[in-house]
Amino acid sequence: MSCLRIDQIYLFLEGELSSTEVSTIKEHLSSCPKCKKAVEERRMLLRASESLPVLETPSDFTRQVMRKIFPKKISLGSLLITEAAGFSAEALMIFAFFLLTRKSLLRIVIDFNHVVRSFVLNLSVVSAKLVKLVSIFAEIILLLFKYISKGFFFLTTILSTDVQIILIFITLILSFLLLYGVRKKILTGEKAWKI
Amino acid sequence: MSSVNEDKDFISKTLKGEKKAFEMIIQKYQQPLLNYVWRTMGEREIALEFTQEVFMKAYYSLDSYRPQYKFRTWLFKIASNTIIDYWRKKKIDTFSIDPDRSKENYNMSFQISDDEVSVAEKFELSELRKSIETALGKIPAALRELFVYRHINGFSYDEIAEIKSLPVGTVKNRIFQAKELIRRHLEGKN
Repeated sequence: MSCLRIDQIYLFLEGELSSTEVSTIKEHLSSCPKCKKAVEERRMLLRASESLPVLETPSDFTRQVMRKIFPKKISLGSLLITEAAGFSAEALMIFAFFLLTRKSLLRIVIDFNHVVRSFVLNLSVVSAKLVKLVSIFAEIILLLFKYISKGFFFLTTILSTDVQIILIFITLILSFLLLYGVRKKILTGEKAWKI
Repeated sequence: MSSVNEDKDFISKTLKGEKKAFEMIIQKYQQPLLNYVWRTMGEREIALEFTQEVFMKAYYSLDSYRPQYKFRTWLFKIASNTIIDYWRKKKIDTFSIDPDRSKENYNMSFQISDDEVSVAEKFELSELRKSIETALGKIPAALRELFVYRHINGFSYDEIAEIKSLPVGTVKNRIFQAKELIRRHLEGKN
């Protein structure tokens, strides 16, 4: 018999060959060190592959799957019972609070009413002061405009018409230059941004 | 009761509405299924998620199961399809589903080479296991899947052929390729 093929070696090791083939191979292996070594090599490879570490499933794995398949449904009855239990617990807590503080419900309501009233009163004082401050500020602005218009009127009485025209012209040129300068500054900024 | 009859009993009880019977199925197959998914995909968290998904799919399609087939192969077929769908979405090479590439042999020689490096002399058994785990991650995904079926889950070639809907000869050839590719990695040739 000629030397073994590698696929034949694997089938031999895995018990996939007939008894006749197995005995022929065994006979060959007893006289061929090269094939014997190749068989041992692959035997070890298979042994190691078949004993690789196993990944253990988490202890609650079955429960997790079952919960996904059968999600718990809350019935209307159980929902009402839960709500009633919660409400009763709250009522009991309020009752316990009254017992411990020895205050009547009417007294607590009156106290609460006092707190709200004083808060509203304080708030109204603050808002009244704020309105007064705004009206003073408006008066100052009005006075300022009044004196500026009086100043202009006074200037028209002491300056001749020609001087007034020249002054208006100079003001227009200065305004134009100011606007032009601002525009140029903006454009330069845009170019710089594009770069 | 044999394993096959036990499965049939669990299935009929589940179909009658006994939740406990499906719990028994999960308990019986969770370990081999998780290890198949883990070794094939390589990530523990994904493996846990996928294994849960496989059981859910199995439960919802249990009425389509035909008792003439083994439940184990039916369940692992669901697992295999789930993984292949995932690989397709991730564009991972899966030539087991591509008939044009079925003749690919990775220049695999069937003859024993004269200069074969001795892996047995190179590694202790524990080291060899670690090296196999590393090498498994380097071989093509579809070959890895078949190797896992055969040498980690202990399926027969016939069962693998049934799960993968492939001829037995093709399955044998591909698993041989997987083993020799792993050996090449261990020899340091790849």
